[in-house]
Amino acid sequence: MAVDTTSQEVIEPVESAQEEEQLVQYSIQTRDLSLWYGDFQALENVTVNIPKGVITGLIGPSGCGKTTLLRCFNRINERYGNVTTTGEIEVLGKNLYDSDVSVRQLRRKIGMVFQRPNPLPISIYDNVLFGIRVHTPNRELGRGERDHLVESALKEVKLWDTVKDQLKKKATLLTLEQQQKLCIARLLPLKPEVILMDEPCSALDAEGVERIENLISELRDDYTVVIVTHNMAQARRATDECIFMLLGKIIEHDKTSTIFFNPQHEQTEMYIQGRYG
Amino acid sequence: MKKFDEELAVLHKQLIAMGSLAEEMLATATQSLSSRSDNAFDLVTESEQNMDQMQLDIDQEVVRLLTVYGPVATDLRYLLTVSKVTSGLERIGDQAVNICEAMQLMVDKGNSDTQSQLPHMAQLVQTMLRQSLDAYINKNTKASESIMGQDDVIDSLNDQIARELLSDDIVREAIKAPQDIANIMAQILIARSLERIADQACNICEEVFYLVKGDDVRHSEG
Repeated sequence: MAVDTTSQEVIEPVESAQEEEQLVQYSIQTRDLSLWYGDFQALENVTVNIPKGVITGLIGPSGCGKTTLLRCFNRINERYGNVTTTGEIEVLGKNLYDSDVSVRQLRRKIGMVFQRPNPLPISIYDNVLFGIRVHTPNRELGRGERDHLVESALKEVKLWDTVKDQLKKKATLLTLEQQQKLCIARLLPLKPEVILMDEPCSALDAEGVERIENLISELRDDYTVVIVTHNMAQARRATDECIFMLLGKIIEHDKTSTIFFNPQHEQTEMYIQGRYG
Repeated sequence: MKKFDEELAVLHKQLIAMGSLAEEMLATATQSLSSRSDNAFDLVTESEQNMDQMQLDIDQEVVRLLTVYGPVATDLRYLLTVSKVTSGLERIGDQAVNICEAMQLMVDKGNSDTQSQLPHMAQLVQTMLRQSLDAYINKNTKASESIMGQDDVIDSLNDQIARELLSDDIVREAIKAPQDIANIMAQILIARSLERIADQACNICEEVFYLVKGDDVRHSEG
């Protein structure tokens, strides 16, 4: 499979009605996706359709391939080296490995939030604008527009009222919860369509978890959110659909209420009941 | 999870005990249709108090297990059905008391003869109740389906008994002898109670589908 990291072309909108309908239905689709770290196979023939505008949880025991799958969706796995991928991944109707796909443009449409918040050691203001500055020549963003982008992004993540008077403060001085909100805010000026979250609450206290979960819930409809979580209570509370993975395979994908009330596979049932994993 | 499994097993035993008590109460009440028993009323009334307490205890335990363990999937469905089954069993206990009260009325009026189909109906309902509890305990949807099919037979018997007891000739005769009106009414009430117990047995069977498949078959045709 060709991996092109140099092309700068924007992902073109698909044209056929059938493909357009598919694009509306699903933000992310994989077909027979397999991935190896060296000799170790981490994903095995993963075929999954992740609908647009819903929050999808990736659940499963440690080492089952949740984070690996998540990282496939923005091709971030390739940064780790010694990775081989086969199969197809379509995001927003476009095969990620098509020769005309720009990884940089791809990552503009697909934001990612990590386990531990990773604000840059610069001001809150500059953190929010960091992504958009990478993608937009500085002269195209006037002062007024920059201020507006910062304010609306911080308002969307419920951080504006707390930090509006200290936008020049170093972002690393914020609490962990505020840092994580800032990391989400940092994605928003780029107008992403998909937000990938890898255990976004694992470093937070209970109140921080609740507020981040509320924020994630509010992102529903405007964004497709895929969230990796070990926390079953969080998966139940915060997601619309869940994908249960085991040993690199998709065991079950269904509405969260169905997964937790009437799973169709014994392995899913055993895991969500806490009987193994 | 071992502790949760152990506590589920204890709850299950409590439910089986409640089911057995409901069967005993129905057997005691309906035995008095064929062989007059002076203490049937007392026995059933005493059991009904135990039944009420069992329902409270089991429901309290269900709430505790839901709260403490936050169960999902089959465990969650099981606990939801336990609460509904205890409710059905408690109502079966109430109907057993109603049967005894109706029998008491017949005895007090000095005429405890019963319509010929009534003991047969009582026997069928007892069997339905036992089978429905077995189906629930064994999570047997096939048996449940079969038991639910028997409800039509019970409904027909109830209609048939009421029709025969309220035939013009019998009512004309009864008007001349008021104690016979009490006898007729008591038998109609007994048949009605039996028919309701059969309905409760069917409700238990519906819970088997919910427990095993997550399907809510209540209010569904056929």
